[in-house]
Amino acid sequence: MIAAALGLSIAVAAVATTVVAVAGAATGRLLARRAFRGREIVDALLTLPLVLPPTVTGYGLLVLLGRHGWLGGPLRAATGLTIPFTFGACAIAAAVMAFPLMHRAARVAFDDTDARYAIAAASLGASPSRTLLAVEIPLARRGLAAGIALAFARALGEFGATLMLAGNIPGRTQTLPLAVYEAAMLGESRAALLLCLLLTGVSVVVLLLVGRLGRPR
Amino acid sequence: MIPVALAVLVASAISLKAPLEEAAAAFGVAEPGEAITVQGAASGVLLAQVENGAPFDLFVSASPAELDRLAKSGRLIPGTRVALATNRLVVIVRKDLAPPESLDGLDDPRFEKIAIGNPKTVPAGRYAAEALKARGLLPRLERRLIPAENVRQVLDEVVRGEVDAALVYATEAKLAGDKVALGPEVPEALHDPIVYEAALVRREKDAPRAEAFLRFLTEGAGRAIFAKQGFGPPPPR
Amino acid sequence: MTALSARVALSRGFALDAEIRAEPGITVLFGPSGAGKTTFLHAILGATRPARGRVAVGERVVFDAEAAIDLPIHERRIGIVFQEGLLFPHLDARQNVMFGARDGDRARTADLWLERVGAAGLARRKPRDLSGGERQRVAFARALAAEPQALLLDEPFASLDHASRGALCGLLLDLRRDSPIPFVHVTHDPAEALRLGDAMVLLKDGRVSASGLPSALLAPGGEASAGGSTNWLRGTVVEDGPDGARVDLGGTVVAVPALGRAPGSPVVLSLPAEEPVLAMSEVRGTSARNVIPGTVVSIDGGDGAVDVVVATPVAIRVRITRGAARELALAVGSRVWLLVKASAFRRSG
Repeated sequence: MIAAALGLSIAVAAVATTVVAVAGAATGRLLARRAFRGREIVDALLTLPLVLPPTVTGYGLLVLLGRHGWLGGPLRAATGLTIPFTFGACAIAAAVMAFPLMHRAARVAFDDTDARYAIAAASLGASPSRTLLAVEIPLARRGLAAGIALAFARALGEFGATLMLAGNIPGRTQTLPLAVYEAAMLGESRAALLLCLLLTGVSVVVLLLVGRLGRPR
Repeated sequence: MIPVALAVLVASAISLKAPLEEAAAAFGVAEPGEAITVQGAASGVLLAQVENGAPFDLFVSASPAELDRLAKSGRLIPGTRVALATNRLVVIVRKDLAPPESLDGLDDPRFEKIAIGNPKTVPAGRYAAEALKARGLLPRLERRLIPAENVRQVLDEVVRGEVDAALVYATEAKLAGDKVALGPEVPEALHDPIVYEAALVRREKDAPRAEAFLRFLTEGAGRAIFAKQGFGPPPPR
Repeated sequence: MTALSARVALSRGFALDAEIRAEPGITVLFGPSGAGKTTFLHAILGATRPARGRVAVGERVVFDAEAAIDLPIHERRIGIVFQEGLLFPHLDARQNVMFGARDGDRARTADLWLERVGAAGLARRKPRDLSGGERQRVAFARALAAEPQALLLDEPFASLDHASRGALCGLLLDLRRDSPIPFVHVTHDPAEALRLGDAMVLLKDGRVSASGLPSALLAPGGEASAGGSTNWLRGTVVEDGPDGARVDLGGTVVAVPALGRAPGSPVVLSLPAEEPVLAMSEVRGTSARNVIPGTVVSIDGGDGAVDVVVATPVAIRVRITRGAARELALAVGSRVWLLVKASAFRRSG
């Protein structure tokens, strides 16, 4: 049970973090670079999962992605796929909960880099994608890496929204935190303790990594 | 926190929460005093809470197993344990599907996802797993089973259409009315008898009011409420 | 031969309505801070979108509001060097120059450009290990290696010390000599403008208030002199030695302190208007090393002082008291002599 939960947790966190790294970097950069009406409102909406109770986010995801949800219904009609109670549901729940951390870290990272570096790169003939990959991302790399590490830690620890959207199916959607929950419910204190130590260990490693990356050059 | 400390706290299998609340109201009229508060959850979850010292006065479980465990660890007041009601297991499917003829009909591939309570913590799930196992369905259906945190969640998942079929108590199916399609009853021979049992939890102080409420549940007025909500009478001693 | 022509108007944030035509060579965009110089450059570059206007490099239109042409920065082929250089901090000097190099062998191109700007030994250094002057050298190499068709320089020497500034000015003049493209050089330093500028455009409150030769605009009474009391004079070293140098200001040769420059080098001198002594007849036997004849071309009476501009033929402004002006009975057309100590001239670039 522990090995399965650990493996699933790492897979879920890896998938969620990959998606969140790209999406959060994109929204963070957009909000750092472009001034538009309602920018702070958009920022607040993107940050919402950070401050809402995870169960609220989880319920929102169910309404949205359930078999008969606003998005889940059409998706099922078109492809026959359903999201709840699947690996995908775990990854989505983890990604939604981890997204604000990456978004905010990326916004700060891009805010802190002089926008004129990008102008200089473009004036040298670099296309927007080359400017992004060869100049802007390297300049923001510390903040971005810290955001990725935090997002990974958050995805690894996701519980509430996962329970709502993905259920708690051993071997399929039972991630480490859900296994801890069940072990505690069943009074399996040795297993619960072991799982807690495991999660704590992984999280400490991640935080040490964040600390290293966050240190100024 | 003061009102909570004064109230009688009842830990109840979630399927019995509604009749217990109705009974608490009736009891309050008959014998005015502090409020009776009922917390509903999966019996296994409540068991863990009591084992960790949660301040419940009365424990009502959907199966005798939880009470056995509490009795063994000395957390119950000896001699207070009593059966309150019985229940049946039924097949339900979401309302736009035709229910199967029998339990075996769940094997039909159109029931892609079948919810049951998590057998580790939810008695309804344990009974369901026993029945499926007895019919040899468990290995074939295992990949389609979705364990839920309690029997009310099982019901809710069918109502919302997230799953296609489920095994729940007859009383739960009755609660959902036409929001689900009712299938056949599961033969009682396929699983342990579904008996709700209650007992007083050992506390630092005596709880005469909890004791009075427990008595009320076993007498005429209490029995009538269980019967009205579709529960069977307790087995003869 | 390509010229950069830009007519730009924008009202959002900062009101700017300016037009410039920069021929190959260095056009100085001159004006006080807040005049809109940087905004103007950004509009030409494509970093700010003007509401109206047109920007063209030679025949190539890169922006035209009416024709809905608005090439992105990376397609304009207009280079820029910022005040702080803004070398990419994660790349070394050579990688910085390689970044925009167009040639097939970009490393070779980069090395050639680094050598050209006198930074060959710095190829492997990161920007943080370079001095301010070295960074600007590499920034010039980086901008030019991309083969722009026009180069914008946004106060590239403003944060350098005096010595580096002089050296970088010399480098810029060399680069201009070898390059057929227009350079637009933003500054508010008159000496820099005089030393570098082939042409000059004066920007004030977002509008072009004057344009012409730097020596004319900065000359006493010129639009860019702004009533200042310093004469900015551009000249060529005639001879130089330990006892002093002689500089031809363009028809007027003056004695100045030793410069340490080879004959023929350009030099910019400053002369405070309070320094020269005005005489109504030629004076002999004076310690002043310069006795310069000239003709009064204007007399401008202020509150406490009178500014007299004397054509020698180079115009030199002299500030005297009202009493002195009255006593001398100065008039436009008067024949006068200027007595100026050699040490009154200061080298400014």
